[in-house]
Amino acid sequence: MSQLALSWIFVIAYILFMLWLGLKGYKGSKTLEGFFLADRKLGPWIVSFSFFSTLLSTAAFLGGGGTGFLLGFAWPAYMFMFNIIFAVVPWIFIAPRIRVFTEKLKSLTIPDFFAFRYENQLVRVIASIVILIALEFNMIAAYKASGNLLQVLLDVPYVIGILIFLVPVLIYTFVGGFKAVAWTDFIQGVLMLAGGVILFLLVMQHVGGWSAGIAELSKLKLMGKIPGKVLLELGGFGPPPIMKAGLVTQFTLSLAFAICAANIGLPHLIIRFYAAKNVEVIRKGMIITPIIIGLFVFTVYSIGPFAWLIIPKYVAPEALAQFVRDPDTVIPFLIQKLLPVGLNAFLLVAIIAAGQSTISSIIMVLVSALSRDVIQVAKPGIDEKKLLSFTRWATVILGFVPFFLAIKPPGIVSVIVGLAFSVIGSAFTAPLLIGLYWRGGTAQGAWISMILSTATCIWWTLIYYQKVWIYPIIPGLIVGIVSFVVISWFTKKPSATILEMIKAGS
Amino acid sequence: MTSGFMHLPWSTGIGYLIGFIALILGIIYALIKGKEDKR
Repeated sequence: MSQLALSWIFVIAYILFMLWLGLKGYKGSKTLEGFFLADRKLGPWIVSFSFFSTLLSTAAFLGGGGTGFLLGFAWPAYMFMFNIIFAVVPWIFIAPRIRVFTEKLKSLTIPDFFAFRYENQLVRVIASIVILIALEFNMIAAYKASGNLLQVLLDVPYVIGILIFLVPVLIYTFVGGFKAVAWTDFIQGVLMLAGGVILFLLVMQHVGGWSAGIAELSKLKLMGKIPGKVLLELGGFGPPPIMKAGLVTQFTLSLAFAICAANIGLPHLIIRFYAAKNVEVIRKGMIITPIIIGLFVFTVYSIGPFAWLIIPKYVAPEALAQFVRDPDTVIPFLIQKLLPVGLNAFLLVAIIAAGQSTISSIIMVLVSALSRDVIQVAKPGIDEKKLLSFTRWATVILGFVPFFLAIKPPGIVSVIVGLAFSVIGSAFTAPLLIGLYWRGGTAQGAWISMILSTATCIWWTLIYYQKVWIYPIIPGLIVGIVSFVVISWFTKKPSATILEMIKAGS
Repeated sequence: MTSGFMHLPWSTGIGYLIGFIALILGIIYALIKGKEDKR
């Protein structure tokens, strides 16, 4: 059987399985709480794998795996470090409190939580607007990556590739809500983890193991001239304009930090904590999640530098520059060359799964913000059944908006996506994390810090990013945290009920 | 072969090392908290 036919069989079987899980979720999605949070009944494995597969997308598989080819071992090493740290921090400091808080307050969404915590509807509205705009743009990257990938591996036009990726997600989210999203996330997470580990082991087998591979790399001449040792050192190798400016170290460290620090404020990750059945689930998740994230990042991200020992066996030295220019092509190339037919079809499914698990979770956050925090606030007496029906259809509409933008993405798309990610990662960190612990956090501090961190990310992207190569989320986070604390200090404190709740820890 | 952590120089090896330490500390914290909850 040809590789193409086998790839189609794997993809179709996988999609049918996901749709079946969607149908299974329908029963539990007939109320708003059921549709948004699976009735808060999820167990530790589902919550943990759902967190993992939502966090790491197609970009993690292709970009994360390939970037080590460009930045050497500094990339996997520091991504491993920051991913573990910023997986542990939200599970320890946010999860236990927010789960109890939101259950007591009957809060269903992140903006909803802000409205209750700060006793202010403006915080809710601003948070919803930030979510709706930033996450819509954030999805374009995943659509584009999946369209490109399926175009090559399934031999279909780019737009059809996006539709093969997107339509099943919309169907299972529409039908089964959060329960379907969480269960598909679980299966998708298992596929991602298995795919990543298999690929890593095959690469290790090919290069003769970790230590032998590193010894070989240090003897190598990259593209016939650069000593391979540069791949082992922090700041030794990187994109030519950044190397010329002598800023590879700060570029690598700030990028790794920025991508991972965003975990604290990403609403599609935090919402998983709402759905945990009890605190015991959170305690188990604290152990399971960093282990699976660490295993995936260690294996997949460490592949990149070792690719220097494999790719030159198949392409001419002058063609290697193409992989340096576009490191996203490294992993697909390795899959094509190293994996036997069948196993590479499995890897294709694992990469599709990585993208779908993230997109379905983002869509859930989008529709919940629109229904609960915009429509229900504007029309408080709206019938729940009517709202639920609107929510299901909003899934389709909000899922399709980035599709139209991804059909012919403007050249500036990567800048917009990076900016959107920075905004969503920096705007909520202070009101969420500090607001859970500090009784002095106020509504004015929350909404003004959201606006200021968003404005900082935009300003930094437009003016400074390409001069200093520090990702906009870092100044965005700093401005957000400082402004939240300073403004809260000078404004009216929340009511005694909220103060008491924070003091008690729940 | 380079001395450091995982056959890498310290400038990169330290990233992997801190990651492993953070993972172990996180697990220990969760186990202790889990036991406290049960009490």
